[in-house]
Amino acid sequence: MEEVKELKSLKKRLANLSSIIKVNEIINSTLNLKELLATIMEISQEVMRVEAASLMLKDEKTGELIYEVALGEKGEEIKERFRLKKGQGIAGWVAEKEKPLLVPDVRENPRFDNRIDQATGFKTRSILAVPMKVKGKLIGVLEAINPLKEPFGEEEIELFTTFANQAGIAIENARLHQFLLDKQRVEEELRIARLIQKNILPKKYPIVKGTEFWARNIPAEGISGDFYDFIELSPEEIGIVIGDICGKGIPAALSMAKTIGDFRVVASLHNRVASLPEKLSRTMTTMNNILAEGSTLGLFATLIYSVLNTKKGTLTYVNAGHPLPLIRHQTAEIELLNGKKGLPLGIFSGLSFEEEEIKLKEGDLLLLYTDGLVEARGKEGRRFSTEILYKLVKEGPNDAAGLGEEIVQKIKLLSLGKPPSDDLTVVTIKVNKL
Amino acid sequence: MKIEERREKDVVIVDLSGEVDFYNSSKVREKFINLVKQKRKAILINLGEVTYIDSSGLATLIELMQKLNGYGGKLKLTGLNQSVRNIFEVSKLIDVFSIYEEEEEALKTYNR
Repeated sequence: MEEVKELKSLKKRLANLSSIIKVNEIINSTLNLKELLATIMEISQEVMRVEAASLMLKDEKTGELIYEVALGEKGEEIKERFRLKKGQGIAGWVAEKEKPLLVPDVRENPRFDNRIDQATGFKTRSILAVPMKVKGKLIGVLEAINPLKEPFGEEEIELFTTFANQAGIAIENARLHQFLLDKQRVEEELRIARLIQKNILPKKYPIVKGTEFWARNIPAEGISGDFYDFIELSPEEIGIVIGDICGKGIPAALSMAKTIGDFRVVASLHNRVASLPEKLSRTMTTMNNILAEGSTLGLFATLIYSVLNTKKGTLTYVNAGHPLPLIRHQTAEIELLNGKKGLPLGIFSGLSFEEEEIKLKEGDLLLLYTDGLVEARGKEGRRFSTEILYKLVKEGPNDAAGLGEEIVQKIKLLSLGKPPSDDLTVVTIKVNKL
Repeated sequence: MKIEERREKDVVIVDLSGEVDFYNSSKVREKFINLVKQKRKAILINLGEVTYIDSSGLATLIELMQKLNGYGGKLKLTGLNQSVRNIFEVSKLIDVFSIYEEEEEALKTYNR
């Protein structure tokens, strides 16, 4: 009699083992997470010979269990409607203790949470819940509900536990695959965003007799919150904008795209109705209000708007919290444009701005930059200091493109080929003849 | 980076430490948004142990200030070391925030 029982048990185990092997093949045949979860559920129902099955995955952030899939008639209703806190209900207990739990009759178990039954009209009688672990880490809980024939026994616990762990590995593989796909997609989107952004920046330099222009933008995160623009206000007036949306990555890049567009419109509007120097301060006042009123995430902009008048030989500028531009005179003497500095744009609305005007001399070489330049961190946190910059400007090439290229090269050397920690923009202008 | 919260009567003091940058400023923001949800009117940020703050960190502070101003709250800063102070000075943010050398001195000003 005993032998017959043993043989029966052995046969059952063998059948279970072969179903596990079969199951393994099926669940490893897809890397699509949604498909996989549904497959796991279907197989659970089949292999365990139960009325319904449910799968909960652990939310890494909150530690709660979330119903991913519940099969059987009421599956759709249960799906994603219920969350279980750590230790809550039968599944919560299993997640906390990381041990299987067999509840032959839920009426006799105070842990049983009947909310789902109440919501769906399903009648749970018996549950076998097992933890799903991958590399010793709990990722979820599987439940087999209401056996169709014999009640759950030791063999079922063993079978379901083995199955849950196989399923767990398949889920982790699918998640990793999904993560890599997402990463690839994000990288591709960033590449396109960078292209769009490159197109927003001016594609060519203004053509003014006797004056050279040069500009370069190097983003830190593939896309940048920095920008520059040249706006031809009249045959003898060139508007030069350099700005830095504080913040990095996508939020800063989106704000940059809007700001540069708005700036072009606002500057041309004021250009039509006002003359120098008021058109500068008025443009800045309007831009500040636009930015402050639409402010999100505290993003603000430091910006310099300047107008080069080649006829009068002047540079008029308004500085809103931006690093000071430099001029190298023909004599190699360096002058800082340290006129009045206003607050950055976009923090408080209703501010007014003051212009400054300087007289330019033939041979002057003007350098405008964003703070990525002096923030650029080299080896052991060494930064590209203003001192190094002054030295470069003083001793570097005496033409707009030459000086610009030299500065960019030096930064690359200093940061040892790594991408800069902050967006970096350099604009150089050389006035050869007035 | 670490974020810790203390209370001094009605003033919520948030101690930040380490580098506040693009990668972790969202954690700081989460903390701030929580305080704003509770409609905290007096918030003092202690930057004493902050070694570096980048533009994303600055934007997070600006956002908190704008939100507080929106319901009559007051944001104050204290404990800026020289390199952090330089970052505030370059961008003129030194004039945007109420900044105090000492925590005690800042705390006194909330009662006025």
